[in-house]
Amino acid sequence: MNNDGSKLREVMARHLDELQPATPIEQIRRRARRGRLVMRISLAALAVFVTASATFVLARLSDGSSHHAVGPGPAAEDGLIAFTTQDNNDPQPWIAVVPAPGGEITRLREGRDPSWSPDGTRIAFACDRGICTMNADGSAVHQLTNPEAPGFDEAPDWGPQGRIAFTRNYMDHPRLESARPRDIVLVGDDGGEQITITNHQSDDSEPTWSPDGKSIAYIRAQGRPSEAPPGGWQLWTMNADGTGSIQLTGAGAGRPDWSPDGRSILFDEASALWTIPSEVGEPDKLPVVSGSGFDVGSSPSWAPEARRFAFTCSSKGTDDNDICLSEVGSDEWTALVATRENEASPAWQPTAPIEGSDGETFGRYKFTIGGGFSRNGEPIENTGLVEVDASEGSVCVESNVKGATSAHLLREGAEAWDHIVIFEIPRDYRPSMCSRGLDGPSLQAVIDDPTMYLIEFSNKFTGKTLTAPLEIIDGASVDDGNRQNESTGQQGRVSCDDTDGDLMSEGSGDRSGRGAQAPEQPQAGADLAGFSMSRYDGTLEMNWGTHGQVPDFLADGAKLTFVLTGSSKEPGYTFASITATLRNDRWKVLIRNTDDEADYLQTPEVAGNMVNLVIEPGLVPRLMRGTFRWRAISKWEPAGGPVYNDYCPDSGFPRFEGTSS
Amino acid sequence: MTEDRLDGLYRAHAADALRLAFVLTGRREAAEDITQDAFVRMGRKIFGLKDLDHERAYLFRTVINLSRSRGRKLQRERAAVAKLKPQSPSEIPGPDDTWTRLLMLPPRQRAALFFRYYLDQSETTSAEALNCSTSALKSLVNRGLKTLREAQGDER
Repeated sequence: MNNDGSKLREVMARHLDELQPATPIEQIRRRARRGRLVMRISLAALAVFVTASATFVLARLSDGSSHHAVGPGPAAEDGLIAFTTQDNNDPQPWIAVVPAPGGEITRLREGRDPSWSPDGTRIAFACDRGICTMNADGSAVHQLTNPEAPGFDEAPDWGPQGRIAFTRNYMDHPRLESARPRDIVLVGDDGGEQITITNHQSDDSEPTWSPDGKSIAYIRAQGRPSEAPPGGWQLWTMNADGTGSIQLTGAGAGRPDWSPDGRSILFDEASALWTIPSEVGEPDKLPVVSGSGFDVGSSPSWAPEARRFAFTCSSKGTDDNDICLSEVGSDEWTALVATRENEASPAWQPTAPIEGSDGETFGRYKFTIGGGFSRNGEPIENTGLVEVDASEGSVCVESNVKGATSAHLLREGAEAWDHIVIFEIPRDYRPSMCSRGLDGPSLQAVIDDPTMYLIEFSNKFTGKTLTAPLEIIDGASVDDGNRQNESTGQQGRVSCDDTDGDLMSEGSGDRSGRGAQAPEQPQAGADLAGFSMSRYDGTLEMNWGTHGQVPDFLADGAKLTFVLTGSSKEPGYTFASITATLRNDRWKVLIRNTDDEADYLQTPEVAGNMVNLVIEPGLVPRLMRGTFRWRAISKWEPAGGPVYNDYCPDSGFPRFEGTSS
Repeated sequence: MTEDRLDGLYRAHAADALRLAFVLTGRREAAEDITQDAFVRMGRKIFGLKDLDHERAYLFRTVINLSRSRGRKLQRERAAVAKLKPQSPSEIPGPDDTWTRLLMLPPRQRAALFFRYYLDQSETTSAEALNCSTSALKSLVNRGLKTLREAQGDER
């Protein structure tokens, strides 16, 4: 060995000693000073955006010169996007900012994980081992925390009411074994007391505040980080004091960001980006990563108007990360920052709220959409409300149209700017949907003459649409109470002719009862009501039955099958089916957990024409531990009668039934 | 990083960075380019690393990474050039077979041998520059030496 070594030394010296660099240092200095490349999207990409009806807002991202262009787009300025940038070989990342439409990158300071203050003037970030804040130009740095070595703090999120939540690590390097699971800690934005709000055995990290500051979404895994199984990190929410934890996902999640309108949470998982309703619902995979040539999309951050978002993207064929922009529901994207360095963790600067004016730019309209006919031949109508507020740039729709995956305001032959997208994706079928941050002549046109416009609901899976004209309501005379009556009083059940075609009732539940949706009341004239309520404080309770008359499904031998979809803590768990059979006035309910194929028998109570089923904790152990959502009565077999699928012979099983994976 | 510091760093380490790049690529021109790129990257770090040892390790890591990405391109170029003309004198295996064999080792083994036997660095420092553990470094060195030794044995 020694011989080998000395021989090698000698040989290397012979070949290497004389080598001296020929590059003058001035050349290196000059190159080092040169600015970085900032890519802006091309005009071709702009054209694609403009033609995509849902993505008109992205057009203004195309270049700085269109910044003040007339047309629909986010109100006011787009602000800055802060992000982490790191040389491929550099162990020390930096915080940098770039204007959201694209432009010069400004490197601010060493650090990572930037998060804007709610007023958009300062940035919290992970500095050295603690959490720091600084001005948006990198000045006035304050260190808020200085954890005991070898621990370190990271991933701050600056919430309202002057509190910053962050992740505390009890190890000196992310790759080392953690001494104990991570915790989420709160600290005031001027320092002061640090409160650990997650003293669980679980590993808690990556907090993001709800806009009202009452809740925090975060990532949780059982045990120490090294012990979590793949996909073992899930999205949870909790109250800001650490109580009331609710699990939202069942198939993994990371880097959540709570939307500025509070409705949904963006997160990454399996190199893709997802949204999930912030209460309870199913995750929805965004098309931008999977459909458009990225290998990786991660760490998303909402724009202030809660439709666009920035994210860390990595294009195929390159091994560095950049910052891209896209919009919910769109597979179009823009490279905002594309350098040879690694960019990550974008944070979109909040814009100051726009002052609303009182009433002049506000319009409220109703519409009536035919929902087909009930089995008794009674016409079912669905009345909804559209509210347009130009001063806040919002259009909201309230209705009970089930199964719609998009709602648009449009008029025949309209230009793109006369086409307002209210929502474009299945978002938990909320009775109320809003599009915010709109601007320009289209909104004004709706307010000036709403009768020119149609509201269109569509279902992207079946391609079916429902349209109805807008009728003006005397805005001054409609107060909130009346609105409630208006929107729910004439609630009708969607039947076969409607968008989704299934007789459906839905709801959701969670462990604490928070987030349980209002029961959908069975309607007079409807033959079958479906589930009406969930309580999830350890038990699952479902009621179904009818209003008014006792239908033949309560005759002996009738059988009902339900499909339960949703997520639970157990990765891979997808759904259970529930079959209820009436025998001698007693319902036998068979719950089939598709994962383990165990059958759970239960006898529900029958009271009058209502059936009440209570599933005790432990009966379906895994079902009980997750959050879930039921969504379909998929089969009904009256005694001796034909089999009804979805109650509508032609429609088959629900096509847009989702699972959590 | 201030320009003064960049100057100092360049004076102190540029030659070794160039030699490392040369060991890794076997090409003088490529080594010069890589060294230049590595220092440009250093210069773009406005605040420097904590101390000189870290700067040096960072520089070497950069050189290794740049060499790796450059290496694939070089291999293709070499293959194309080899078809067109005789190899240049520096690439013809001469009497000094150890050097040729060294250049045929996997790049990380080459780098490990360079750190340990040319720069006489400690195992810890060498491991840092290779971004690996000391045991992994020892393994790289041993495997490299073993291959060189076996090659010599074959010729005797």
